[in-house]
Amino acid sequence: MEHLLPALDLVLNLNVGLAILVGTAFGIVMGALPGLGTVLAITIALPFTFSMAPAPSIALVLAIYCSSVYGGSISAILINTPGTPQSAATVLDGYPMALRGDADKALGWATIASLIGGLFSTAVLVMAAPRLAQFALSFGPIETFALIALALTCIAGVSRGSMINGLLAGILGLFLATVGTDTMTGFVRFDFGVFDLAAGIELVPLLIGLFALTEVFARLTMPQDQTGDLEKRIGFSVAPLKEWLLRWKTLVKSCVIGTLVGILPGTGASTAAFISYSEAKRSGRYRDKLGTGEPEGLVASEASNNAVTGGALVPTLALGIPGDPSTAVMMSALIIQGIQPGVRLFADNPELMYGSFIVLAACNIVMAVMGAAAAPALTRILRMPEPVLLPLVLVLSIVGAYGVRGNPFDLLTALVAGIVGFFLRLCGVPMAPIVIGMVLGPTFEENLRQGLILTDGSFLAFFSGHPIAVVLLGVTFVVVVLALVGEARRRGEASATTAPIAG
Amino acid sequence: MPRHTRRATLLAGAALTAVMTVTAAMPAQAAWPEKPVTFLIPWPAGGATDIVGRALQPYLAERLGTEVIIKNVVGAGGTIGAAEAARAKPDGYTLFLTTPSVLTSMPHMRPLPYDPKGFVPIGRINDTPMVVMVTKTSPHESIADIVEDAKGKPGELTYASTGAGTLPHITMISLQSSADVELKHVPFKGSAEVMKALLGDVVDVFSDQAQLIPRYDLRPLGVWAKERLPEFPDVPTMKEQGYDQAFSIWLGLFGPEGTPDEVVQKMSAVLEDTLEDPAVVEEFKKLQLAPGYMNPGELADFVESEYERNKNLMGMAGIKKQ
Repeated sequence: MEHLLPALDLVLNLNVGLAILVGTAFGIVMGALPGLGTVLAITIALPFTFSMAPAPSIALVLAIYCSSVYGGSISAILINTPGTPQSAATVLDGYPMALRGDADKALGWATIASLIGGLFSTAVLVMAAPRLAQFALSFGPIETFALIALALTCIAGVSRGSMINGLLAGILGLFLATVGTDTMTGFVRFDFGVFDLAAGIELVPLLIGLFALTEVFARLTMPQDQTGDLEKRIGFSVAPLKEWLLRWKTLVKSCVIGTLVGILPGTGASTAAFISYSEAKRSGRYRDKLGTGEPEGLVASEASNNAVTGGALVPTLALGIPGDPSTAVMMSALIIQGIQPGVRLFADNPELMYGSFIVLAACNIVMAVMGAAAAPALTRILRMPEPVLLPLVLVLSIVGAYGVRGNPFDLLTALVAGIVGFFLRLCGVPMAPIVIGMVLGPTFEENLRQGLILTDGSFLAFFSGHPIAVVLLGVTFVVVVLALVGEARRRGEASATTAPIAG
Repeated sequence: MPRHTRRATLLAGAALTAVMTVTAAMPAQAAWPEKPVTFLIPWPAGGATDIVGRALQPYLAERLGTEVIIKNVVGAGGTIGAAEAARAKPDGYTLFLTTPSVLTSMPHMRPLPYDPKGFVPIGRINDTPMVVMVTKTSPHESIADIVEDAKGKPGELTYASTGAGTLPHITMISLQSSADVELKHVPFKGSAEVMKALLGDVVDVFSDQAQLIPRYDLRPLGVWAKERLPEFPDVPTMKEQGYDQAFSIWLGLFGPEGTPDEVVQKMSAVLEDTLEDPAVVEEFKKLQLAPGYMNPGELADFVESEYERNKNLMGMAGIKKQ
């Protein structure tokens, strides 16, 4: 703690404050615009940091990091399109709430949950970074494989309606993730001679197609808005404390899950949000209402994805190993400053590191205040007539899909995903499992194959000498069996109640 | 839409078309550059190559007297960007700033929609030697230790790479074939993942850029260069240990096939001058890059020799064109 005063001295100045304000506003906007997202937002800001001092430039990058993860929830709630993949699980309950006219409340839940998640993980980062970083190192390929296997079970949690449809959608996602260059061998898979596919299918355009475009297509084919008569409240409203207390377990669990997933390199905020969501679906107080516009779902997703920010900084700052793609770009910001990220980062720059922690906490608070302040203007979007709203969503989607890599091929990806997604939606296939498959697929495959190289091709060897992996795979097995039993029971009940009518 | 708005739109459209026509009709031969020059980088913004590009950007712009725009076209190990650069109009306004893999190793792995030998070399920017490294707790103190250990238990020692056909892979193929030993190859997505595996004792050896060594507190065993590195005077070169090969990560500036010679000459002179600027030297020191300018002729020969050597090494490792 002897570094606290010099650290305060370092960050309590106008430049740092300005960097936090500008970074937060910019991050929220970049997060909320579909497709643009965290990595791009930080990247755009990087050139400006060349001429800045270390403290403000780190403040700028941290502010953008936190607020863009939060910003994604705004478009998820308002236009059924996750602004960033991290908010894909926020759509599930956020959008139904907005449709019901409760957008103000949905933004309130999401904002406060994000704030709590962010602050929780910052606290963990400050108190336990070095020890937790060692924990991250104990996750080799075999342990990571087991963790992803467990994460994949959340497909069951987010499959509304039919479990079979959900599983098929998950497999489709896993398959789409195999398209492109196989880094293990350098071979290109499933490109059908199309050179652009050698780079694989980009996640963001796919997401935009599946969510934004299918929504536009669906509204076009069903122009009568059933909720048109509803009063659509605008603004920002935070639920009373009592409501929060009813959902405290999910809130705490999601903060912990988010932080832990953030600490383990190779996964990221979208994974964390889905795991928390499916945990809420399994054990939450309002689990039966999840997916119909229940705040508990929002709490799970948003607390968790913002908790990843502090978690992902644990290996980044303690070991110099970025926890997710966003922190990887943040390391560039350090390198530009001539600060070498790595195992000595903490020891060599204690003031700057403690300063970053203070800044990180401040960023989360500024983010929530700005989000609340912007909400009245943002929620007005919902009162826009459809002939204005739909073209707007369409334009934003196209810009977003193109903006990630500046590759026209991605527009095609978004369009195809939109059309296919529309038909899948008509067939009652949920979109979220496709995203889960796409997000987890590459890491899952890579770690499985690395594990098999290390064990000379023996899968059984995964179970000896890898206690963490054994526990995780055991839990995975139990979760799958429970899900199948639950599904069978539901079917049994369903057929029992419908039987008299049928008979 | 009210009528006057529509008319305004039409007028604006007409004006735009007119401007575009005039621009297109301008002769390209006028003194280059008369408009912004785009540097196409086949790696993501914020990545190692991009940082170098952006660090040079203001200095080059000042000397060229025009804006320098950085465009990142990423994917498929840089080949998407290379393909776009190859397709660009060879008028000197799109140049290609790249790591060598898309020109010297990727072409040996799969068919590509561009001719790797078609690019016109303009200049090499830096030259950062590769180093063989292990963790501080590793039992291996020298390359000889590794070779001896590998001879005793073939296929048990593991080395990491950042993917098949990448420089960390190729260098280790070279070591294995010269020492006639066999190590197990575990490819990862990037050097961050490798560092996690190395520090977590999942893999034993890694061969990559020297800057990783102080960052992750590693033990360097051998430098793939002709001379020892100033930052590690005690670490012998690979040549001193009996493996006479040099491998380095470098960045080069190229033009698409057909780029006029005036452009190449002027750009390479500007590049050379920029790299000597004390401010740039300082910037490179911060980024831990060793400057290593080469003129167009030297770069052409260098690319050719790297191309042939990688072809042989990759052939030895059984990497064939699909």
